[in-house]
Amino acid sequence: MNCDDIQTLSPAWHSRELEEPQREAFVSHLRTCAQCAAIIEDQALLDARLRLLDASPDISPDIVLLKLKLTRQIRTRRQSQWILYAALAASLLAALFVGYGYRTPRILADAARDHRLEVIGHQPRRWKSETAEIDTIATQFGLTAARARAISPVGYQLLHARICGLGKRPALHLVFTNGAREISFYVRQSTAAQNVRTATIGNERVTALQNAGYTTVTVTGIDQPCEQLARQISNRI
Amino acid sequence: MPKRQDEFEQFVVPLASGLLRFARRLTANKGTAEDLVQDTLLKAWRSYHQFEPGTSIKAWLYRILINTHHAQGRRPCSRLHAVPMEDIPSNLPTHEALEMRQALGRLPEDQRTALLLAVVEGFTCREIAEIAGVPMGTVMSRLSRARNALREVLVLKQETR
Repeated sequence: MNCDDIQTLSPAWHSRELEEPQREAFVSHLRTCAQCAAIIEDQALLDARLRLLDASPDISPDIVLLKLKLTRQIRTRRQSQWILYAALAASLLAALFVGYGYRTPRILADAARDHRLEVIGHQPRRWKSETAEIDTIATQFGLTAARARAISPVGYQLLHARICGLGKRPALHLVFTNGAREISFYVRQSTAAQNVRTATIGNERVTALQNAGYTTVTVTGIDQPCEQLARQISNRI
Repeated sequence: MPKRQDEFEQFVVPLASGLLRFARRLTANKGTAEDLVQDTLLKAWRSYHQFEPGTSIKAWLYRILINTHHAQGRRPCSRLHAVPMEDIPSNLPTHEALEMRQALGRLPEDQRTALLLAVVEGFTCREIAEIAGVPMGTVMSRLSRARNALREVLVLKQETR
């Protein structure tokens, strides 16, 4: 594979579409060509910045649903209304986008934003990866480094940890990796009643669980089984 | 609840947030973007019976959005006061966000669309080809040119600071 091939195939590389023999050849060329490696890295950094450019609009699926149900009811009653229906849909959609009292719970939005910036966007942060360092911060949340490693979901292992803020209170942020993808798990002690909340925010899927004296929030890519992973980790605490 | 309605609510409605984010970049106008997403969701509901199970519902929705955008041409925004794109919150520092938005705005629409679909919305080149109705090679070419153009502009800005 030569530099022209790298240039041609780079879009498929970034979207992880290269089949195995081509992928091997691509990686092999990057190991030996500093110029191509630098270009691919620049492109990846540019992509990361582009993903951070627009904060995702806060739209509750419940409101979209309400709007669609109302417009369907109007249509089935055979009111003539294209004007009435469009006006109602527009006003409901305006309420949706302004978000009058119908917002994704703050803890879910905070977790999605934090994951996007720190894990996907790789913004510089002082992560703790040594056992002693993780012990120091984990004990503040009733956990230890060993416990944090033990709660990794199947196929994942603990990458690093730090303390961050969620909904104005500190939480322990654990990042688990399966070698290809990283997921975030936020945990803090809480006495709130058992509860499950799930949302899709931008390209992230977020699940908050209240269980066994902990509030936990799991953030994954939109194509990953977030709720399943969230329950796996929470059940192991 | 009828199965079709249940499926639509389960699979289509949660994608509204991503549609709006993409529509804002496509139209460069907040009000027009909201109108576009509204039209898209309503069209998706009306034509949901045509959706082929087993194919990507996300790609199907974005195809509806792009086709609706093209069909609407340059229809003026239906809101009296269009909110400028600069007022949309960003996760980047202000000066970086401004540079990025300006660089993105200078790209030809087909390159900007391909780049946003690939990088922000997470579609593969194959899916973008389906959405845009062009060969995969064309999509890859647009993505390469878009990334090269952004890189040149942003690197040049850094060097002139």
